[in-house]
Amino acid sequence: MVDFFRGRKWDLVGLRNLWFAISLLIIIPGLFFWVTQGLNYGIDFTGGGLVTYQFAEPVRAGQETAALARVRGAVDKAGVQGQIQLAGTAARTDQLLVRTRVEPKAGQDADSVLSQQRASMRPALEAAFPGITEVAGEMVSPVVSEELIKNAIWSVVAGCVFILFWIRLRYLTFQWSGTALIALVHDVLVLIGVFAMTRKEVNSPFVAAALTVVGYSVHDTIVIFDRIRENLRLRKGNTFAETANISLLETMPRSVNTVLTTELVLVSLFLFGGVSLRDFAFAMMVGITVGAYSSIFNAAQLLVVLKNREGRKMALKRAPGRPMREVAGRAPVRQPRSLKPVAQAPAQAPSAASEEAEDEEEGAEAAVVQERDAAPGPRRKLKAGRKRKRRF
Amino acid sequence: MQARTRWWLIGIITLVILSLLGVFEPIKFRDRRDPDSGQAVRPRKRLGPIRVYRPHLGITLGLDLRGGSHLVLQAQAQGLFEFSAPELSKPMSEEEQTDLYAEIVNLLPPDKIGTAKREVQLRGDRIVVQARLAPDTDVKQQGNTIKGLLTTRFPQVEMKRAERQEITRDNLQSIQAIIERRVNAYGVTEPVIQRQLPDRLIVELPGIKDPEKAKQLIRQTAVLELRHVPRKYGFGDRGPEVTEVAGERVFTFRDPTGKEVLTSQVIDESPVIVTGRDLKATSRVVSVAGRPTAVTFELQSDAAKTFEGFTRSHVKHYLAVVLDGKMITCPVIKSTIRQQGVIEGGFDKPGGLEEARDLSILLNAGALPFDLEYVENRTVSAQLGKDALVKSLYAGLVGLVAVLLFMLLYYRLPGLLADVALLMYCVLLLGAIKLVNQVLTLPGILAVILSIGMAVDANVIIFERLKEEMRTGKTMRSAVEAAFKRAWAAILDSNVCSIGTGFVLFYFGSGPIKGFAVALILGVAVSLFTAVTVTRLFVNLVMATSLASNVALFGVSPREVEGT
Repeated sequence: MVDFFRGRKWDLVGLRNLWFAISLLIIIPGLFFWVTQGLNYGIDFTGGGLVTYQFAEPVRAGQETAALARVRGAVDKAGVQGQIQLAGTAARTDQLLVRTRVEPKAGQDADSVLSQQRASMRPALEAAFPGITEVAGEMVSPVVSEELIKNAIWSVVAGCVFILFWIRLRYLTFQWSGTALIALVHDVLVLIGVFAMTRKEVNSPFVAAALTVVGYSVHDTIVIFDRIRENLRLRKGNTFAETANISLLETMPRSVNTVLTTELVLVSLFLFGGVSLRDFAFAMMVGITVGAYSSIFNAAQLLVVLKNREGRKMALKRAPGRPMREVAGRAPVRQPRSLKPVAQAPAQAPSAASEEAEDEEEGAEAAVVQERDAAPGPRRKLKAGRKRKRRF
Repeated sequence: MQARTRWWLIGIITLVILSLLGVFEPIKFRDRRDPDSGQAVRPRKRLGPIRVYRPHLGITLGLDLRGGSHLVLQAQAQGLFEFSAPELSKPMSEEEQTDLYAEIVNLLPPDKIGTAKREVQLRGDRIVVQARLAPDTDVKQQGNTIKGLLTTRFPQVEMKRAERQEITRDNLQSIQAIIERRVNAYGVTEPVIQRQLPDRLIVELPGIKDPEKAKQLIRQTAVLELRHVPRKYGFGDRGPEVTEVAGERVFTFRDPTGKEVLTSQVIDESPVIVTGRDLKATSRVVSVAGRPTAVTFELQSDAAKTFEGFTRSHVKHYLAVVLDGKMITCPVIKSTIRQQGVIEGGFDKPGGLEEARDLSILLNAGALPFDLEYVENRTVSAQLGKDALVKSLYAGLVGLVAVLLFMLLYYRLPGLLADVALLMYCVLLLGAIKLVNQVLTLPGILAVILSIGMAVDANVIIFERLKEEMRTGKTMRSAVEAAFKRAWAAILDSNVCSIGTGFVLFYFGSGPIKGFAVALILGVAVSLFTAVTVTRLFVNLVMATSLASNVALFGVSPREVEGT
């Protein structure tokens, strides 16, 4: 199991449109589901009551529908309106969840309503399933659930703002922090989309998972950005796009390994953890995978797009027809711009160097020409208006 | 080995040992206490002041792992209204006053005002009404509603005051004190009662056996009132009939014509003479064979004077003892009562002793100045908690083993080092959690397990870097230096972001989520620490041996190294 990635000359940057397309392909259906069907909110956000029962004997596979029917009968007999659900670990289904709405009338509060519901459900359930025990009860009143919703939204916003400014602080421009943020938002959207499609419950732990995923995905992105920054400084001979690609490939082993180790742990939690841990683990599994994807396939590529646009804008400012000597991107660390060869560790760019970076998205007319320092080979100049074919 | 390296090694090992001691508590200088019962646990051996115990998990567990109730109470706002009317200034006899009081009370049924409870008092020439504010109602609106109801009898009524009684910090503090007294008297170990401004209290009852009962006790307003039953409903031998229905005492009152009157109405029309606020906290249960179980009470001096005067002039009248609007007993006044009295009757049924005890607790703790309502309630049985704990620990262990194996297989020698570092990390993390006395909740365990998966990351960054540096043909030593230096920037930035989101979660999150956030922050912080110190230490140690020159052990094929 030695380096799988060594020497691979993949062009991750060049294929960026493909990655963007894939991202949209995942996000858009998710958003559609979210908008039309909404999320399956837990009682933390809807208010209400949740009672957990433990069966004396686990429900065997295949018997679930029958068991649910019996539960429904018992609950109806108790005069309680509620959603019922079977739960348990992956191995055994031995718990029952009953969610109820609590609508207090004047003079009653939500808690006494729930207590009454529980008191009336208990005998009916005990008759249908001897030995069943009530193991947990939760009640969240509307006052509190409104606050929880507000806090959830604010916490995500605060997290994103913090990241935006921290990266700005360390990487000096909003270009870098902005693209990181977009990658983050992408992750959160995918996570929400997945939960909208799978109808899994969205509760306070989901928000915690989302924020943790945000922190983690940024973790990934920063490692890549750090490498890009370093390569921009040390390897001056490449365009921004090339540097980005090199950096991506160099950090690939680390990114993949970290995701793998974290996923190992999460899968274990998902399989062996109890009910509440399962949903949390699922959210994190999805989130971390998407986070890694967005860091590797979206963040750097977005930066390339921005830099190209910036390069084009700068190129347009010059008079057309004159050779240009702009580097198609700026290193965020201020360094004296030198055109002399820089003596340093030999460049080992795994990807073949291409001399120009082109922004093909909008059929740019102006091409940005790059001067290669210290390397042998003819300088290539481009007359204005000519497009150069891409080479790898 | 270098002196510096040796010191680092000693330091790290000391930390690990301290953590193990702190977390598993095999040796203590003080008694270990069982968290649920509060009793001291017997040590295995005693060596002077040192006690040796069987190792156990010495971290405080949260309610979702231990079983118990987490309750949030909110104090309900009240409105205070004062009305004046010319009819009230006329001099009248006591009979007329009592009748007037009854009229006013009947004009203002609670649901017409929009609440469940209201209190009416005649003070001099003012009618004072205290009512729970209906949600989303303006105080003035409610006041006008009341005024409208009063106009039918008092056409020239004026509203003199309509105030919203806000809960002040002092109020909240006194409510907290009252609830603490109740909970302590009830015998719950290690309860946690915290204020949450502006108007909430968080009550945590770990290991509680009967949560419903405890909830009742905590929340009960416990307003005790001794009210004067109007003469028309009871006098001398003509008093209420008392019957037992399903273990409850039922009082039946009749008006002069013989028609039955609702007890609640009787209570309503009975003006209050003395309330629980006038009591001293000396109430006790008296249970003597041959005599009915009773709850004693003692009045404070000025109230005692008023009460004495009242009872002296109202012999043969009936006194309604009402707790939270429910009639407990209704004795007839036989003689002057000055300071002490007993409440008896109704406690001799099964469960009556407990009721009497609860009543004395409530009387001694004091009545709540504001109504409290539960807005959040999370109760977990001990069985479920233990179940969740076992499952999550098992899952964590499996995950840990998987990661250890993976690192070993992929990174070989550095992987082994990372594994040992990871195990130390786990111990140090637990030590950190114990150090800050963080309560470990289920999400907290999740954060710990997650951190284990992520802690490897710093090592991975360093080792990947090390491989690259080795490939450039540097000497081992300079490769290591360069690797650590360059890797640090990335590690720092990314972990700062993780810590940042952890703080955001801590600030905005509710109880269990706060536990998650703290564990996550600690996890990241300790992983930063071990990445810099422990991993570096190991690499330095290995470098001192001959293994260092064999780059293959690090996963780099010699062919790749430049210059060879």
